[in-house]
Amino acid sequence: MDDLTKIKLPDGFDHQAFLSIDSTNKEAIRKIEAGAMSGLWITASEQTGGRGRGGREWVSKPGNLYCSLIQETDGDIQKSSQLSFVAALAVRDTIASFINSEDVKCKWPNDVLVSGMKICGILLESYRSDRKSKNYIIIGVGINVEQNPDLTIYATTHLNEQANDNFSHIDVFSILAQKMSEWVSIWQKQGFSVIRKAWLDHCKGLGELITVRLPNKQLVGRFIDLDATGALMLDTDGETKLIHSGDVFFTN
Amino acid sequence: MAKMQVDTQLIRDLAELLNETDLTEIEVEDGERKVKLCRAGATVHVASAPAPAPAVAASTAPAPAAESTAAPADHPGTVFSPMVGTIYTSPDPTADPFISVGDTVSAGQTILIVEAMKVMNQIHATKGGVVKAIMVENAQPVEYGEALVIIE
Repeated sequence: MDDLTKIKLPDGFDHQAFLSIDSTNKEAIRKIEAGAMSGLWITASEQTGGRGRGGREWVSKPGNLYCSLIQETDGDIQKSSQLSFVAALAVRDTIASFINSEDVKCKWPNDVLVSGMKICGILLESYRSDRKSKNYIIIGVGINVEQNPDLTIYATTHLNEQANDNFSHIDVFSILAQKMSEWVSIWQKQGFSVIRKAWLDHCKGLGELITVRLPNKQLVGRFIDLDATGALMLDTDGETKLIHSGDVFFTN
Repeated sequence: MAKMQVDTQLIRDLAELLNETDLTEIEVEDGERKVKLCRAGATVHVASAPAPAPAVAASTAPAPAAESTAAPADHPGTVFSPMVGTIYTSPDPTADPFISVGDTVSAGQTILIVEAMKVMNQIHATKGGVVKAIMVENAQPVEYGEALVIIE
């Protein structure tokens, strides 16, 4: 039923596939405590407790891709934030490789949109294993392949709708594993400045008016740049605000 | 205004050292980096050379609701936010909070999450003890260096 395990992964990566699991991120943490190493992918055909930012439910029916990568870090919080953009570039490249469209864009910090519609979700979690005295980031990725939920806050789409084809989550995972390996390697060897530039080359809304929804207020301003840490630089009437956490909406 | 490059771990380490040793000031130099932490009332000033601009980069907020006798910045058991972001007090909205006032926690235990750039960063207890005060609420924005929790 599930051929995810037959995929050949890049060197240094490993893979465990599940049919149904609460959350691939949670399983990744359990696997760390059970001795798993950096580079292990967890995939599931469905999740019973998938979560997005702010604990929002991530609808996880069979047919779409749900996966998490364990990445060991040195515990530096700034580097962890950088991985958010590394993951976004890997997912963007993956989706772009299936779709004949120029309009596959990153949305701050790590969403990917096809013609303005949300096609995936990425959520990273830090984890420290006291037993192993090591720090990790779990990179959780969900990609809409065969279907998409109808959300009230965002327009959504799925890969097969955009590709006008019938790809499986297995096809998508095999490309994602490759792209993630490539982008993590670029980041490790060349640093965040290269990631930041690549992300800016592929992002939506640069130079335009956007709305940023914060927990307690909303800001409208011009998206002028990413700072060296990945914070969104928003020009509001001549004052530049740095956004570290929030939901971006495009005004046009 | 460009954001300062701040080695948050270094400052945390120094702040802990400052508290442990009960000193009023620590200054360290490593090549072109220089960091000075000094204690002044309830405020920890973080100054960094060779920044040309006025060098006060972070100060902790006053305690809004702490029942402890010491101000959070002075209290040796205060856990500070290592980053700008959004606070989460529980692993997900349906779960119990990580900690409540009166709970006993052990060093290293996850007590909060600060989210930035869609990374959920676990905040750990810097030492074991009893949670005396929680100065933040769920979904609240926090600044770098803001006092989050007091553990005694």
